[in-house]
Amino acid sequence: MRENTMPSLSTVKTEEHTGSLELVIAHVANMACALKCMEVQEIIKEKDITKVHGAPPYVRGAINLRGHIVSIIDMRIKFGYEKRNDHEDMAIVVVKEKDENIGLLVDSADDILIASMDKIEAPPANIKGVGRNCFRGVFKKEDDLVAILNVSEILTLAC
Amino acid sequence: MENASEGMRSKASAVTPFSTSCEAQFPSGSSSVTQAKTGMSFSSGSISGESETFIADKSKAVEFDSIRVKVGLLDRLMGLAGELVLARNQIIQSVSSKNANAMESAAQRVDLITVEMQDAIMATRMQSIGMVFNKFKRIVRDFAGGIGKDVRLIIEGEEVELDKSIIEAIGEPLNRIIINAIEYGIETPDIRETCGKPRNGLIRISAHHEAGHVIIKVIDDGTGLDIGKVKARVLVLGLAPQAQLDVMSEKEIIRFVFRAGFSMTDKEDGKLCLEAASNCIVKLGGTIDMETQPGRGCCVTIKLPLTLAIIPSLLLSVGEERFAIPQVNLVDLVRFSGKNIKHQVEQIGNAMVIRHRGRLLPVVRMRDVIRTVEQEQVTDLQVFQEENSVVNIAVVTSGNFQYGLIVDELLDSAEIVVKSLGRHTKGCKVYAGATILGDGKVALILDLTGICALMKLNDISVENEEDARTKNIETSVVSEKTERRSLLIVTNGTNEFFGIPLELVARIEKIKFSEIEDIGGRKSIRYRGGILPLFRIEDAANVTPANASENVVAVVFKSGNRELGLIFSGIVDIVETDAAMDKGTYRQPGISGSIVVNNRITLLVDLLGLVSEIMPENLVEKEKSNCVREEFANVQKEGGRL
Repeated sequence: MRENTMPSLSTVKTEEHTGSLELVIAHVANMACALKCMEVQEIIKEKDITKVHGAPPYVRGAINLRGHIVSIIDMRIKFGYEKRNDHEDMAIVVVKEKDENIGLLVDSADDILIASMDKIEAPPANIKGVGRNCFRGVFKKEDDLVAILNVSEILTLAC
Repeated sequence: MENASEGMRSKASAVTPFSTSCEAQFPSGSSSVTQAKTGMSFSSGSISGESETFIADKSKAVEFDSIRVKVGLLDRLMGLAGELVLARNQIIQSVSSKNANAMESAAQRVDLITVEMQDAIMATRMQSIGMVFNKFKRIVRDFAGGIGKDVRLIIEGEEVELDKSIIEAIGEPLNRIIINAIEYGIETPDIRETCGKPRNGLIRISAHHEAGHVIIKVIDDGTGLDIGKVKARVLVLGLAPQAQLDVMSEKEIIRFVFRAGFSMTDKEDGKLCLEAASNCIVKLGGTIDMETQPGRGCCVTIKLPLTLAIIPSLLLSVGEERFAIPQVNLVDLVRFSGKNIKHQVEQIGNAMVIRHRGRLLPVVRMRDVIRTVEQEQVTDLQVFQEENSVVNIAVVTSGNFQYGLIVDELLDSAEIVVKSLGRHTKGCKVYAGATILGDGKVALILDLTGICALMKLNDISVENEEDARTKNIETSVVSEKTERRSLLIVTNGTNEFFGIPLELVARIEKIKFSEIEDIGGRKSIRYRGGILPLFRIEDAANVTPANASENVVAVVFKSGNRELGLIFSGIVDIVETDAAMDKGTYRQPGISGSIVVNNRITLLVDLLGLVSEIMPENLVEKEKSNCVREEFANVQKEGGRL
């Protein structure tokens, strides 16, 4: 990961805060979403995704991650957006789910920050596109709302 | 800033270190030991005392933790390790002296040694499946006896070897399947008698290799599964609504027995469901299937990939993408080019066929396969518009059915490591797995049986088979007793034709005559980093010498553990013939007899006879090299490092 895509990390503290949550902020289309830092294994920029014909539409393909085959899930398709071709900011967030590494393809991975619990609220009932279960909550950033994703729930969704 | 970024990454990876995922795929030794233990105690606990079982299990645990390796294999590894040390010394020396030639030869040695070493190490991990199967003799006897049933167990294919990790993990699911078969499949002797079956039930466990997979079958001759009852249970347990059941095929309904929470009875001990067995096998990257005939019995088929195994395969490309086909599935490679492609690849309706070795072979385009899995319409039926295009066809076999696959390019043969695809791509029937190529990119391994089913090729095969049969009867009188042989027909540019048994031919290489070096009365060529001795048929046999030409072919074959090449002017054909061999008329050194192929007398080349005629010292040489190796091993023993 190049450093220019990781802005202002100096504030990040690694020790666990009570009443706060460390989040990786990513963008899918125009939606800002977040993953719990503890769930994320690494963030990579890999352009060479081998297409797997016949896989569900949301599977972009597979990559080689240090000798292991990792399926890449296109989060745009998962959230019901149009597919977008490869571009410069595109990043793969590798998470571990049910003993398997899975790469989540996002349009950009921008930030890591610590969110205090009192700024996190339960997801509003009218979140469109995917079911409410896919979100753990919504974090109120200064200028933006960030949806905190429930990765395992998203990955079990069939669409 | 950079530090912080590092910090976050290292933290993320510290939470779930990557290395653990390997263990997750193949349950580590200890976890499967406990699984095996529960399986054992479950079955034998009912008969024998608790303490006895415990002792038996303990010895089992030791057996699983360690591995028994043949001393011969260890000796081979030891010898190879020694050679590796020598090669290393050679490299260090040549690097310090900046001797490029020496470095090159050292690199080649390391290459050779690593290949052999890889083989040897893989071989140490292979265990025969009999180790698992034989355990069931007692389990079946004890368990069946305990519930008043009489069951005979037949074990087949114990010699089939599988990787240690799979052997360890397969015991538990198999145990469940067998116990299930005894408990719910096999009837009590009295019921069996009234059904007109022998009093003792039969369970047959078998294992065999098929197309890079190992197939394990558990067959019983019990009641079988009643689809109606399964449906009823599914409804009772609420696993699926009636509407869904109505549209499901029988096979899909049977699959419910592998679903979580399914059991045929409400009893507590009926909870020994097959779901756990199924999960185990899926975790190993395999599949499980059940077939049943009501009243006749069940057949559970487990298909396991040779995970961890390195398989030789052919790489091919379609557009930008690369795929691999296991060599075991590959029969022939056919290439058509030039103007008459339209006559070579013919169309019957929508189907394409080629004439291949006297029979019609269905062919499909890999592009169409991809379109079909992507559920796009196959539109352009006009296949080859351009007059001068080239068609590459890989003739492959799936089970005992052959078909051709048209691909854009045939790339190379390579040894690949099979890796299973992730959970999200498991549903694709056309892939057997994935692999990582030399350049670090992922390539998918094609499942030729899956493609066959997807393109609905099975129906054609029956016709095809009949077609070929009638043709045979028409064209030649086939006597079943004459053996069929495949011959490589070659020529020296004269009127004489030679046939070489195809199974002895390792490769055919095109070489330039000017590259052949004639030193010390021997011809040879530098080849794959070594020296390939070459000779001609006329060196031994009394045949017309070859016409001088620049382009020749070398038929490479193995004699002992080295390769030799026989030079000819050109390749004519590969034929399969059952014509009788005449051992008298033309018999001489290097020629074992003659055979009539396509109305021409063809001389059969006796490769091994030729070698002993021309290079009688070849055998002696082989023994000598063995001596050297032994001596070397002795030195190693005494002196440690050289």
